[in-house]
Order: sequence, then C-alpha cells, then structure tokens
Amino acid sequence: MTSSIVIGIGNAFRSDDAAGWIIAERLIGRRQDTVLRHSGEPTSLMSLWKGYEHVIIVDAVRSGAPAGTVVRVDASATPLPPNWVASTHSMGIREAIELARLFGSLPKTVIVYGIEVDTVAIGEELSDEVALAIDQLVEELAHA
Amino acid sequence: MSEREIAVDYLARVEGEGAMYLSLDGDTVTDLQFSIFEPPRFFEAFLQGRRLDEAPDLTSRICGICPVAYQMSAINAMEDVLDIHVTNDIRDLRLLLYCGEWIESHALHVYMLHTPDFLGYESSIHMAADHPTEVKRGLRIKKIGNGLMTLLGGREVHPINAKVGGFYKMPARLDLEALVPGLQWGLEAAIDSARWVSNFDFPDFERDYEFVSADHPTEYPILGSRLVSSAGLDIAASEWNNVFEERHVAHSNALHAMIRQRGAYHVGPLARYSLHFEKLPDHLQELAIELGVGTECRNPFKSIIVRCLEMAYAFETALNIIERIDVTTPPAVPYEAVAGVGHGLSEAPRGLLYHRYEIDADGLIVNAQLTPPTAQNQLSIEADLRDFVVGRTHLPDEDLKWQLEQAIRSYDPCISCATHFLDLTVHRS
Repeated sequence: MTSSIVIGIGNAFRSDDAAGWIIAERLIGRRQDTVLRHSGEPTSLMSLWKGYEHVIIVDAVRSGAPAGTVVRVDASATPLPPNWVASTHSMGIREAIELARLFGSLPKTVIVYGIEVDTVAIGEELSDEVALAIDQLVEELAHA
Repeated sequence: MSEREIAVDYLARVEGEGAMYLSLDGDTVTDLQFSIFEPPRFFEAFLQGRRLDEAPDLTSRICGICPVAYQMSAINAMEDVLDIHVTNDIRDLRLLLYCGEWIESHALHVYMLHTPDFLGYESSIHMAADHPTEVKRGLRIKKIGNGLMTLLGGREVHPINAKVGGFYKMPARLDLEALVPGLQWGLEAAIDSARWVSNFDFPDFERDYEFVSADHPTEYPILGSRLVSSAGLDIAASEWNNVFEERHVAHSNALHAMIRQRGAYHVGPLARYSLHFEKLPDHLQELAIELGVGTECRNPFKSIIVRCLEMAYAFETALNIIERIDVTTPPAVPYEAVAGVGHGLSEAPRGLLYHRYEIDADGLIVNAQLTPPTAQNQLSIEADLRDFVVGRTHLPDEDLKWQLEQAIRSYDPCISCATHFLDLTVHRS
C-alpha cells in the first residue's frame, strides 16, 4: 500500500480561513490514510510530508473567484498560480511546494484543494458559501 | 518633471495588509502615507471581561510570527499586577522559548523576505533556483527555531505551554539536549549568514532616529521591565503612558505611537543593537566591527546584518540556557488574583511590545492596552520614505517602487500585528 496523507491547513480564529482545519477534523476516521491539521508554516510542512508518496492539501484561498468555489490543482504537475494567496502571511504552501520541487523533495503527487474564502476577519463564523463547500468537499474526500 | 503617481497595489513579502501612497510634484514629496487597512483590532475590547490567565494565549493569536512576544508581554504585565516573581529556571525557559521565536522570525525575514530585495529577485522561490545553498541554510535555521518552539510551546506556531506564573510543564532534559547539535550548527550558520549578507549593496542612507528598546542590566534585551532610549529615556514600563501617546490618523487603521513632545521613534533590531552593543558576546561584537556595522547602526537597510547577529545571539543564549537550566524545579509559581494595573514589556523580533492591563479583584480584565512594534515604527517608516525619496525622484516608477518597498521591509513590518497586504501608490505631479 502506498503511503498517503491529507493535510488540512487553516486558522481556526480567522473565519473562512478555518476551512482546511474543519475538513481535516471531519475526515479523521473516515479515511484509511493519515489525516492531520497544520498551520501551513512552510518548513515544518516540508518535513511533515517527507516519506509520503501522495499528499492531499486542503486550504482556504483568496484568488478573486466567488466565495465557496473549490479549485483542485495537481501541484506535482504544475505550480500553484502566483496569485494563490492562501495565507494572511507571506510564506505558505506555495513556497513550501515550489522550494521542495526545486530541491527535489516534493512527494510523487501533491493535490491541492483551495476553497475560495469570503472573509478572513477575526472570528469563528464561517460564511454560508464556505460552509456548504466544506460539506461537499468532505464527502468527496471521504470517498476518494 | 510632470505629475506622477506610483502605485503598489499589493506589497509582497510583508506580514499582513497595508498600503503606501506617495505623491510627487517634480522632485518634491507632496504627500506620503503609510497606511494599514485591516479594521482596527478588536482585541483590546475583546479582552475586557476575560480572565487574566487567558490574556497570554488570546493575545498570542494576534500574530503567527511573534506569538511568544504577545505571550511574554502579557505574562509580564499580569505578573506585575499580581507581584509574582518567578524562579530563574522559569525565566530561563521563557528566554529559551523566545530565542526560538527570534530564530524563526529572523530566518524567515532575512532569507525569504528581505534577501530577494538585495539580490534582485521577485521572491525567495526565484532566488532559490540560483542560490540553493543559502536558501537551504535559511530553511534549516528556521527549522531549528521551530524545533525549540515545538519542544517548549507544544507546536511551532501559536505555542500553548506558557502561562501566568510560569509554564504548564518543564521540558525533559534529554529532549533539550537533543537540540544542542542543531543549535551549535545554527550558531555557525547565523555567523555565516551575517558574513554573506554583509556583502550586499546597501543604499547610502542613515537617519537620526531616537532608538527605544527594553533594558536589562546585563543581558542584550529580550525580556526586561525598563526601557531606554538614545535620547536619554530610562524609565519603568509603568511610566509608558506618561511618555508615549498613540494617535489615530485618517489614513491608517493602526494607531500611530509617538513620544510626547518629540514624535517618531524607532524600535527593533537597530534600536536593540545600537543601545546594547556592549552586551553582545565579545566574539559577536568583534564580528560586527569586522563586518563594518559599527557600534551603532542607523542605516535601516543594514538591519539584515543585525538580524543575523541577533540570530547568532539567540543560538548562543539557547545553548547557554540548556547548559544551566534545572528542569526538575517547579514549572510555575502559584498566585491569587488581586485587583490592580500591570505593565509588561518584551522585545518581539521586530521590536518592543508593550501591554497594560487593569484587573479586578475577581481576576477579570477591566481594560487592556496593546502597543505592537509596527504601530510604533509607522511614523519612522514614513519619515524614512520621505527622506529616501529625496535625490531618487529621477528613478523610473518601477525602480522607485522597488526601493521604497525594500525600505519598508527593512522594518520587517508585521502589519497583521499593528492591525493587514500593502498597497503602494506614488502620485507624481
């Protein structure tokens, strides 16, 4: 059996930015592989996926698409788009993936799901669009 | 020259969202505003009515880059109210955790955010293709900082082990000792980093800042209960509001801090370095002189060298603490809530962070005041940019923008802390 891991990235206190965390939480026990929540800090992310062949990353994203839009990117084949702003911080999964690619340490497949946010203001409330997108993506990944 | 307006709609490589607007009439700056967009922080209001022991973890959520600073300034303030005096071992463990944050934050800023400016790359990803050895070194340094944070704080971002009175648990000696080889490598790597960045081209630019930092009689300041300035301030944290004031300005959501009657001041690595050079270990003083930094440094661009020296200091301090700390001592001292007002200072990687709390007899927060480093540096950043533009107005907009962004990044501004992406607009007329 090949090794695989699902990593949900987010911030539970930044409204829709919690999407990745919530999805990871709901997938625990519903998948055979490892499911983890992570802050998105790039150096530890690069350590975290070491040893895994297949990686699925779920994160909130702000690209300008309508809130709740889910984008799937095969990051092992193509870089995340430069306007992929997935964090309120300036270093995130895009840097982790591209640096790992450059240094030859990127896992065999890295699939990134981005959920377009409505708001990342301080708070624990999700927007309706993101809450719905979370429900749909959990079902899709639970059966994938 | 005709009117011109230069706009940077999104300033990359800073923490958070903000904007800069510059208006030029020929060679004259007619307007310059460094603004911060994110709605005013509701933290101060949000803290009212919360328990005093919740303040460290709640405020640490303000920033993913300097959570330890928020915890420590909050803890210092609460312990000031409660008159708690912790053991040397607890204080050492706090310093050790703080060293982890300095290493993580400085490595991120030096290698990922600031170096691309000097070497002419759009981002660290572009830079890594040509400088893989250095970028890998930066990532490894950062990872060692993460390791310290994870061991002492439970995780590398938003650590959770520190509390009013001490820690929830002491680390195991074996786990601390396991960090030593990495820290020893890190000390050398930080020194190599300082040598590397000292060869960059630095703009010929200095300003007569009033430097302000925390003060400690013998230590290069990370923790401290007093503060000093290059203009002669030497006060207890409790005198903060007598000396400093915060003003709202129309173009920014963050309050501008200033010294009463004097105005702008400068906090951060340059302030700490220039005020406390002689408290650095001898070999780092010698290295700094050899690298041409001098015993004080007023060129904001050279803060990148000072950050490397501070990384070396943090590695060395961490090694010393691991050698002397007794982890069999109690992790915390007990306390009972009393009503009062407390003041806490500590040196976040990007500068002084002040907290003030008023507590009632039930241990609930009546009011809170948080003054982050970037709010304190806003006026200095604006003044730097005004001065920096003079003599450079002939530059094409794109070049001017690049250099102004670089100047702003010299401060490692944590705009998330001060309130959040920077837009830069230059208007020429």
